[in-house]
Amino acid sequence: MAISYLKNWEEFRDQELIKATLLLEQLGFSLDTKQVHISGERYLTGNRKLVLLGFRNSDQKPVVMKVSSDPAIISEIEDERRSRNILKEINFAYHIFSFPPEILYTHKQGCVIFITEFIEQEMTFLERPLAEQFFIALKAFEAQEAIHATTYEHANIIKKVFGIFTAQIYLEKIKEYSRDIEIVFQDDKNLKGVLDRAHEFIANNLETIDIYSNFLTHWDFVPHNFRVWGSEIYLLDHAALRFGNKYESWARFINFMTLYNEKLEQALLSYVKNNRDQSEYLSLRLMRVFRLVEIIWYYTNTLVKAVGDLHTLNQKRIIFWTKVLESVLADQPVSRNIVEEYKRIRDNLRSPEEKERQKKLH
Amino acid sequence: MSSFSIDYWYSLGHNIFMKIIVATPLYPPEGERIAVYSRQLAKNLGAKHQVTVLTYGYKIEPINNLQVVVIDKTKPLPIRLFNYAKSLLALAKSHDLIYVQNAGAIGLPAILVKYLSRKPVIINFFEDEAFKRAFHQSLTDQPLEVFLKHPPANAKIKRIIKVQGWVLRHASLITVSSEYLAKLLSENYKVSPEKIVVNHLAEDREEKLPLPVLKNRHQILASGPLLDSSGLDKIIQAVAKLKEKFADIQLIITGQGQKKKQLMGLVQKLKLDSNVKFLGRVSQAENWYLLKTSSVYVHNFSGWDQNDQITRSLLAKTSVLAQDNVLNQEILSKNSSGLLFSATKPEDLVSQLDKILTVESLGEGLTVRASQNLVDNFSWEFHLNNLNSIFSSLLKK
Repeated sequence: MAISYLKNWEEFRDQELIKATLLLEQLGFSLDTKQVHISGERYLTGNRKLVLLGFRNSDQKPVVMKVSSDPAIISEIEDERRSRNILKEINFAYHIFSFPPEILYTHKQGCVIFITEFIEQEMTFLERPLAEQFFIALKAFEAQEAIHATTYEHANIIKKVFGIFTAQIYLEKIKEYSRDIEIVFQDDKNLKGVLDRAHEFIANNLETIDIYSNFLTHWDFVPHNFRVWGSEIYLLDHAALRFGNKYESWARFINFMTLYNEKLEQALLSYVKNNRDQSEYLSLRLMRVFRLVEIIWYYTNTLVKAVGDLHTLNQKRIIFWTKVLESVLADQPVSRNIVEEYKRIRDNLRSPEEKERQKKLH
Repeated sequence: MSSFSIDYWYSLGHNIFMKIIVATPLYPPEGERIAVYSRQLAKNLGAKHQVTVLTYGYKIEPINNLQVVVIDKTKPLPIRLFNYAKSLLALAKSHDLIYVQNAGAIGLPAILVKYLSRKPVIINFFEDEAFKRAFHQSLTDQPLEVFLKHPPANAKIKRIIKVQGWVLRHASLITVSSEYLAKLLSENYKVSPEKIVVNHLAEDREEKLPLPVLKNRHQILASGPLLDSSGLDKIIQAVAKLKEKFADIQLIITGQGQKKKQLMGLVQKLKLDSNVKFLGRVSQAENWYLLKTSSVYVHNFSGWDQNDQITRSLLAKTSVLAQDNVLNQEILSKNSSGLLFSATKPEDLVSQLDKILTVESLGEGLTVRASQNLVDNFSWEFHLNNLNSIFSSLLKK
């Protein structure tokens, strides 16, 4: 069954790529020879969309092209574009991110094609010095926190475009994720215990989650979803924007840094602890727990699709993120031995295509 | 946040018990300065007085023993205004006075309640809401002084100005953060100068950073917005003149604005690309880090700075070099805690800057006096002392 997922994706990708290449050529764009974003572990997302790199023929300008003929993905790309436009327009979005300029948006032969400028960066986020990483992250978080949709007028605008997550919705999601995970890992008592504690932690602190809700938040705020050029932060993925708890983007970012940059993880946690209200730090932990349960759920769902080493790797990922979840619930840093051991296993199990895809990604 | 001993403050004789309403448009989790100030003020006053906060909001950050009444912000504007006025009137019956933060969003209901309840209403003119809105919506790139004389042709902005003026003229008393602002208000909103009392804001915006902070001897900080009124071109020109003497001189410019391209062009023309950095908008933490790591903060605003970057520099123990004008004299001259330069003599800025970068002990002396200036004029003790006197004087009438 898992092999058919991979095969289906490869068939879809190859057919779609032939069609897209012709369409893009007609529109005056060419593709780069190497396309890293349609290989490696990409098939696991089940997302029937091609993200392609190339250039505009007239001036060789590098571009990013999103192409899909799948009705659900067409609607997702349309929503993403609408989000970009709304954020530019709404008058309470005083401090907003920069967006890669739109070059073309069109529907052609049943496909949607959305082309934006490729934003260069002097170096990847993780190659920057720690202080720069810290301040870029804070600038991005403050930009999101500046957009608080609490008034009647604001709510009316955003309801039409972005989703709104309340404490109750976070709780329902945790229940749903835990249920799905427990079906797959019926005999894993430790995992069940951790998930129960996560659920209890969220359920007991709904008021705190709600206090810091209604803020613009990017639930997939990680270095590969933004680029930095000069003093500007360019947001690349607008589909992951919603109004929810303001620490959701912090949580995703800090959980990511648990794996990629412990010093930045600790610096950000320490900053919140020492400069903000205690309930804000609690809110951050609540969101970290939420995002961790979600990532465990995500990898649990991939087990039916993943093949070979990737299947083994995703099992290891579930174990690793469960340990991180336990640490956050205990408000303790995760042991570095656990992180380093996981990284070693991950690097052994990753495919060459995925290793190539990961290069210069963060 | 800096703290102080409430008991010490009361031991000075400020022991008249009052029932105070702090009426504010914003309260945490909103992150704006007025929201954070309102909470800190209520917390400090609440140590000995009975304080009730009335705010717009949805859900708010709770504080032990502090009563906060929240008016649902998700309702349409007329309903929220009516609800705010209704709650304020109900609270006024059991309180001695109403201390209102800003004249715009909640000034109107506050003045109506003043006439209905006969309780004194003091407006704290924290910021000009019309100016703030116009500035953020790019309807003006002028400083407050010019904006008030020549507001943009926008119906909503003009309406806010009218409402603010009406509210200010009908308030029992108005508090402002500087004598300079008092004069501006009196001239532009036609408010009697006797009704305006100066009470500097407490400067407590310290950030605790998880990174090492080391002073860079030849690093200068200047902040935007990048507009003509910020005088950044003159600072860049001064750096060009000092480059020969200080090869490693660094000017960091923060902020955004319409003059960015021109200023960057000037930097290129003067061959200062490796000496001047434009960082754009920075976080609170980075602003603090830049203040702490710079030898001097240079402030060439021709008018009012809505961010009060000078007092924040004093708190960061960073030398201040500011344009010689009435406002900066008021902030810095009381304790000679900063240097002033003439706006009309560019060589004055160059020589003062040269002095600060050369004579290390000069900066040390300035920061010692700056600390005293903060205690004397920009501390919570000072702020609360003044408020106590203002409130008491109104209740005695």
